Amino acid sequence: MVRRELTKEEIVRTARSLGAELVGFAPVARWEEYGDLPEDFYPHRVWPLTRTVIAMAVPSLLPIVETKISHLYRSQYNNTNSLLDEVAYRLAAFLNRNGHAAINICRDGYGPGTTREKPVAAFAHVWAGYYAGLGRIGWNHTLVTREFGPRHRLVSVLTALELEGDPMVAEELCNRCRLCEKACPTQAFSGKKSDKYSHMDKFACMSRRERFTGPLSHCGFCLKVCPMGDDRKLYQAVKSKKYFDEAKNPGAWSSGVGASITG
Amino acid sequence: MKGDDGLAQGELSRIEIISQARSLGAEFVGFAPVGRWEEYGDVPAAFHPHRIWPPAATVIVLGVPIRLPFGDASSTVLGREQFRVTNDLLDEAAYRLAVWLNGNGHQAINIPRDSNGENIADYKPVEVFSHAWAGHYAGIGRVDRNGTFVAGEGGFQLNLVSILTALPLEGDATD
Repeated sequence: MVRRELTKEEIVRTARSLGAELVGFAPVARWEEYGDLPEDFYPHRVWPLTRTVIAMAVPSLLPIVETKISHLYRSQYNNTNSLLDEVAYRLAAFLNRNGHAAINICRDGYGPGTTREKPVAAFAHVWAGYYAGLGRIGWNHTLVTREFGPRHRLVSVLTALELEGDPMVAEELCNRCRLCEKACPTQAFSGKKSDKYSHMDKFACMSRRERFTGPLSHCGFCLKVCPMGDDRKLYQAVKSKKYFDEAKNPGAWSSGVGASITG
Repeated sequence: MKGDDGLAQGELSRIEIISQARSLGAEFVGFAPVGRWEEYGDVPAAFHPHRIWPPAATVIVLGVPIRLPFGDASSTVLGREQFRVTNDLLDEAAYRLAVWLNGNGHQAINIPRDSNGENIADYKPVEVFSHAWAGHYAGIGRVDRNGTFVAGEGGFQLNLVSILTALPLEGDATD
């Protein structure tokens, strides 16, 4: 196999041509340096050849996250997951073709049906995104980005290619407004103001997802209320009070796609 | 270039949008100003694009053909898989075109192929948005009297998807 040197710019260009919107690079040393995760989940423990993690994200479009018509959001969720898995797989193949060992870690690190009995993912894309400089981890455990707040989905590629890390985001992007905690229909978040992150009850969150079948059963409340992200300016949706009014009275739903469709 | 709100601003022509859509896999691309839904009145007002999403000024419709040999295949799995493959392709193309428009500073969203939702049609068989009528108003083809969307002289079958955008664009000629 011919080994060809690749620059970060070439890799970013390839990732973006495949559909990634945000792309960042994290040397594996950052997992050890910061020590946020159990060692078994460091990328070079998951796959010993790893030297760099390439984190990638695509946005969840706000008017779809806001919609009361749950299957539109579910469709976007499924479509963005499929796109990310394709992007990551093809980027890993591109790296391999150029002589650099690489693997993609699929979007769903849990595996279908395994979350309730063992809610542990094989790899945390959120922490990879943080170490790769895509954003900062917020109160509700999501990666808050400047571009989309927490409204995006993530995937990772592990590679043996050594690449310079991108600068991590220094400023705090979550302002601890805790609107996500107030809006959560399952009360999944709790904790004191002094806590760095909330305590998250994964099973409470899952209980909502397990009822994800009818037109008004969708969730994503913790994502749509977050005031951060340039996407809020683009879609001219900067006020959050409406979300709480809608939760009390779905008949008065006014935000997102299809709010005027009733009956 | 960044605007006052910090978002990238870029003027886009119809040609650039068509080129982008085709690079993402669309074979047919058409533009329908939202005024056509009111002008023709074929669809209930609640389902007009600017009622579904108020910023909408133009609907961009993408199409890919359902190849005739698959529609005719005696082995139904081939036809079913062609339907699934084209649906997936269209959903990805529409999503990526909406993200690309957003990246150029223009509000946009994609309406997925299946706006009924799985398992919902049985008790509420109403689509959020009709891609067939969007294709009709965007000049890609026509909705027949029996409600089927057909294109071209031979009346071949297309699979369609739609993007709603706040960007005003000139509409394509209709039949």
